[in-house]
Amino acid sequence: MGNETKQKTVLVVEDDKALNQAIIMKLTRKGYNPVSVFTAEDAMKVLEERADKIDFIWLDILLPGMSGLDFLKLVRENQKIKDKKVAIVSVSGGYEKQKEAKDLGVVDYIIKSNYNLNDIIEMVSQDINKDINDK
Amino acid sequence: MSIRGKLIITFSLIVFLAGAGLFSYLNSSFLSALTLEIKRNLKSVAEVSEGSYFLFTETLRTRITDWSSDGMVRELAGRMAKAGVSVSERNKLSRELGDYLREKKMPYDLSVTIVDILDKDGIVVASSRQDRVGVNEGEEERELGVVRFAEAIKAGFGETFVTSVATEEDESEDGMVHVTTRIFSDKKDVTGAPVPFPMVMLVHFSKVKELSGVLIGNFQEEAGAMTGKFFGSIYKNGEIYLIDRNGIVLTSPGPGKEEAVLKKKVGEFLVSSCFKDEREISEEYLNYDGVKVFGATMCIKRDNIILAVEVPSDEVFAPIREIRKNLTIGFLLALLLTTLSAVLLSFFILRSLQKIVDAVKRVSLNKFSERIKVESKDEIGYLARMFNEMINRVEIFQIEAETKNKELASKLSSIEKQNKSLEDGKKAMLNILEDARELELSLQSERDKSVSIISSISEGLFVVDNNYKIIIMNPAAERIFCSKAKDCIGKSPMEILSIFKGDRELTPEERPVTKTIKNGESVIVGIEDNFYFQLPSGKRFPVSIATSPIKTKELSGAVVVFRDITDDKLLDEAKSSFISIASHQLRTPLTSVRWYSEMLLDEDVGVLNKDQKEFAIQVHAGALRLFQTIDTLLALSRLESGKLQQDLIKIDLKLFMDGVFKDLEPLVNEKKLNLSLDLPPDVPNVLMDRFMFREVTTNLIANSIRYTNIGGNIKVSFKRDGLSSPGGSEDPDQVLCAVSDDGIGIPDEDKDKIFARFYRAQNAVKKVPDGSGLGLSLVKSFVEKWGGRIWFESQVGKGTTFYFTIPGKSVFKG
Repeated sequence: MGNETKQKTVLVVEDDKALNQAIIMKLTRKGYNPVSVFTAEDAMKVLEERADKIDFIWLDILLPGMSGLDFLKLVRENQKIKDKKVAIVSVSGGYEKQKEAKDLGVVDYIIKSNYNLNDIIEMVSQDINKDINDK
Repeated sequence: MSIRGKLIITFSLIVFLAGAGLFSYLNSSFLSALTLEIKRNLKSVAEVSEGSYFLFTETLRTRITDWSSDGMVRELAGRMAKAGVSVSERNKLSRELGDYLREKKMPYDLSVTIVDILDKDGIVVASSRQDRVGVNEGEEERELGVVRFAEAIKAGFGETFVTSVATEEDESEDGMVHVTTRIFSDKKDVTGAPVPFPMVMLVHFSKVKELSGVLIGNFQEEAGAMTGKFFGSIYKNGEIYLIDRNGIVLTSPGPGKEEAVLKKKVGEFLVSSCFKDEREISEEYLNYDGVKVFGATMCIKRDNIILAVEVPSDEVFAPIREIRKNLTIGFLLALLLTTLSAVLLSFFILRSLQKIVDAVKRVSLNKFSERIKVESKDEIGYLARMFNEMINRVEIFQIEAETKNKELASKLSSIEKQNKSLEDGKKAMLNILEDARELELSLQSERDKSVSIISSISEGLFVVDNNYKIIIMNPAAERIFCSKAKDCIGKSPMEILSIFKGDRELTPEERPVTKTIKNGESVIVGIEDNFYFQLPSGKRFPVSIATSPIKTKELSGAVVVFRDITDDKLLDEAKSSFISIASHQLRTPLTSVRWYSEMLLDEDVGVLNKDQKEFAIQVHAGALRLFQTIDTLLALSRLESGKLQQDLIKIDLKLFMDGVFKDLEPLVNEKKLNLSLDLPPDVPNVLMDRFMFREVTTNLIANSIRYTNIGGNIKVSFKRDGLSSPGGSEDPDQVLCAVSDDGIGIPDEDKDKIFARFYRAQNAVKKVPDGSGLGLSLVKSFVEKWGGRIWFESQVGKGTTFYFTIPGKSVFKG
């Protein structure tokens, strides 16, 4: 746990302040470098400014303004950032949404209300590592 | 048909038949008479013409006999015939003879064109035309038959031979007659007969034109008989001509006739009848131009010639045509006269008859004073008198009848009095009937009340007899199903509507009305059952239905009440979407509660004391329970809005149930319950949505746990059972699952509502106050979604068993 040689930067897109705060806290403890945003629009700004610095995107779906899935579509269409690894972490887990997300190439789809936060952090951590190993 | 018409037709018919008979008789007798006459005439003309011909040829014979016995000719011919005459001598003699004939003989007869002397071989040795010396006339005879040399060289004294020749180009362009005779010396032999020279004289007469005249009778005008000339004056197109042995026409058939006729060929039969059958004919045949003619022939064998006399049939029958024309005109006139007289006659007879007819018409209108005035003494007059007499009698009868009628009327009035007393009796009877009717009316008003109640309810209602025929239908139902109530009465409900559960059409057996009539059970279909009526027009709407059996002595039909729940459905959908949104909005803050209580317990923000830790555990557990409720609500709302998709995967029932039991282990242990699984090896694995299957089994077992007392028993059993649910159809691969407990049971009054959403049985509320009332509703929806059925058996205090089925199609194969 947290033994990675290089500190990974995770962009956390979560509009609920409390949840966002909890995630940032847990990721930091786990040894990651989280970047916190509350909307997809802000996330896009961060990506455009520091594209090469973001290793992983933690993405909620129900967001004020642009939805998580619409944001994901824009990412996939943008040549510079289209290969970013993304995990959806959302309260909604409808069949259609899961399918749409899978089609957009997410590495994981986690229904956050079903799990304790520790378990989610563990799953995402695995996704990030898998990502590195694959490379 | 009127008498007039009949008369006209009859008369006309008689005249027509008589006329036609006469016509055909006259026609045929005229025809035969004419034919006979023409044949006779032709024959006699032919005979006369033959005589003329002979007379004519006789002058030619006289001429040649005279010339051949001329002393000079005999002298010169004799010297030429002598043996040992030198060629030059012969030539000198030939010229001398030729000159003599040309200068001393031919000037006496201008019709002679050439005179030839032929030797014994038929070669011309001397001629009036020097250039002809050396011509072989014997050969010409053999080839053309225009010269009769062979006979002449052997002939006796005085014999001559005549040939009519049409034309012979090498001698003359005109037609000719050839005559030959042998030349004799003036010496006589011992018998006194002249001694012949081997020499023949051939004279060419250019007399063919003359010959035509001869045939017509120029030579014999004074003979007074029916000569050819006379014949020509009767029959304008009559023809007389000669034909040679080959059937060639030799002479022009009459004055004014074209020479073109010459050399035409006549029918073969004319020649053969003469020279083969030796028969002279007189009949109708086709002439050289193919025209129908009457003809007669004379065969002149001596000169190898046939003489023919012909008249075109048309001309022969001309008189008959004239007669026919006259007859036809006469016949038509007769017909006209007959018709006219028939019309007149009928007019006079019918005038009297018409009077009678008019009188009869008036009498038929009861005018008996009518009499007919017809004075004639004939049958019609008799008829009129008889008629008048008859009317007299009828009039008398009528007067008698009237007096009898009056008597009858007086009798009738007495009968009427009797009738009146009977009438009074009838009135009394009617009063009794009136009372009966009032009774009936009050009954009817009772019935009308029922009918008006049925009519006024806003739900659709109809009654079906046990033959599935609609016998009553209220206006609310009529408005939906039929333009007129009569259109629906007597029909089966299956004809006027289809029932769907969701998207699947119900089979006839599954329809509520069938269940009611077959099993006598009441069926209630609510909004959660998702039933739709579909009309033949395609219109579709959601319904709630209640069917109830009609029992008098036996089951006699079913009452069906239904309601269009489109509005309710909309409300329900609004509710569902509200639930869905609310669920999402609840989840996020609840996740906060869950995660932060978790972080407290993880002591991420500092160490907790024992009480603090206990409180945090309670917060965390409450959040988890709330999640379950929300998940159930969300699943239900998804299901109802049709958004729930089944994700079918293979499920190993043993492993799966172990997992379910493990999840529930804390609760089971808490109440010290005995939870067991009965899974026979023949039960196959299934292909199902894991989430739905897990919700169903977990909910049912959790319910049992909840409503079973401490130390109780719960058993989950699976079996392969083709026919398990009541009223279910056969499905050999179907799997049945039963969850049974010995818990508190379900009270009878709650049984029909137990699957309704948010509904909880009385005793259940007492036992576990905080249940959501959603579990069984969700379970039922899921089971039906995968095509299974769910039901239960329960007795208060004894326990409950829930059954559900997994259809054969969901069994994993292979």
